[in-house]
Amino acid sequence: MSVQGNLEDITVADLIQQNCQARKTARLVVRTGDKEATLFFAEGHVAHAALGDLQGEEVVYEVLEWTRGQFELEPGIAAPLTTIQRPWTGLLLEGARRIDEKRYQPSNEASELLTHSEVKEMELDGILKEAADQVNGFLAASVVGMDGIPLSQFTRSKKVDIESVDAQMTLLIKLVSTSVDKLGAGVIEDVLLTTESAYVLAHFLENHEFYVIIVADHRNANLGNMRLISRLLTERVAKAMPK
Amino acid sequence: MTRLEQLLQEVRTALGGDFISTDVVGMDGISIAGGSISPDFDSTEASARFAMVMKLAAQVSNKIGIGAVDDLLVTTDKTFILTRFLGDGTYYWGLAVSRNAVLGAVRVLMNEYADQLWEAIPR
Repeated sequence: MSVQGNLEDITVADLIQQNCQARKTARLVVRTGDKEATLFFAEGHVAHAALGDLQGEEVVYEVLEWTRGQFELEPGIAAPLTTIQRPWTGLLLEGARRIDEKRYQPSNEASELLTHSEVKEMELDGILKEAADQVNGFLAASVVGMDGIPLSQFTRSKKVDIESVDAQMTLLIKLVSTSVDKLGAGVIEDVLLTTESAYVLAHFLENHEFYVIIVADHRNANLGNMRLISRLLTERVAKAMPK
Repeated sequence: MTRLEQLLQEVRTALGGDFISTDVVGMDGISIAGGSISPDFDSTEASARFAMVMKLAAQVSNKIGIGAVDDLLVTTDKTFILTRFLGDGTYYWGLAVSRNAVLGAVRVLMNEYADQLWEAIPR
């Protein structure tokens, strides 16, 4: 039985995530204006996508930009061919990166009003917001300096005081860093604090002057997904950091 | 060999070549059982340092209101260091394994042995 809905209620990114995580075989038809794209899911991947004469990843990236329109999901329909090899997480992140680029490409007029640093901060905000859609049980995320001061923050839960999380986690991370250094146990990549109600994952940027922190609900989060998204998110944040 | 040492030996055996160090440590930072097989990893120093880390983790968790600490995982380019409180939180268990270890399996192993280690601590 097919499922139909509006893109105002559920994003294309959510539809891809849900179908890939559930490893469903299905056909997704998405329409906006006079355009119609078809995506096929198979064994946890987006196997094929088509839009007019266009096929493959580029179709996914275009459809990810559609925020209005309708979709129809028909389970059990196999892809007629395979045109996409990239994992679904990679597709979503690349799609998000392209959306960022377009969204924060300042016009000439805007360039005069915004400093480079301000544009970069807006870009960071956008990256964190998109990460929120890709982490199950997402509560909050931020980019924090080793002085405990956030560069960018995004929260979806009033229960999480992200300012406090940033400051407190920085204290913990500094102590962990000192301990690991003294032990000669290598260069820290990330620190995960698991509590009865939350996962708090801090992933260092390469320069170790900043880290990206994600807070997720312990009951709803998937730890593997969270670590993967954290790693990919850190790479994007590093590229978007103000110089 | 005490029951505690037997259990830690079982953990070490289960981890095979990925094992580096494990200790059951009081919150005073003194290990009551365990040790390291690597000359590059000082388990006595690790026990003391991570006792401070676990105390701070508990304070941090309390201040940001996310409940009691289950465990802490530190990933470096060489090792996974996992620490978790045992029983009523008067001891913690630390385990260091190589980055080649299957992290999911190590976490399952720790879940499996945590209660047994707590029961085996002499009182």
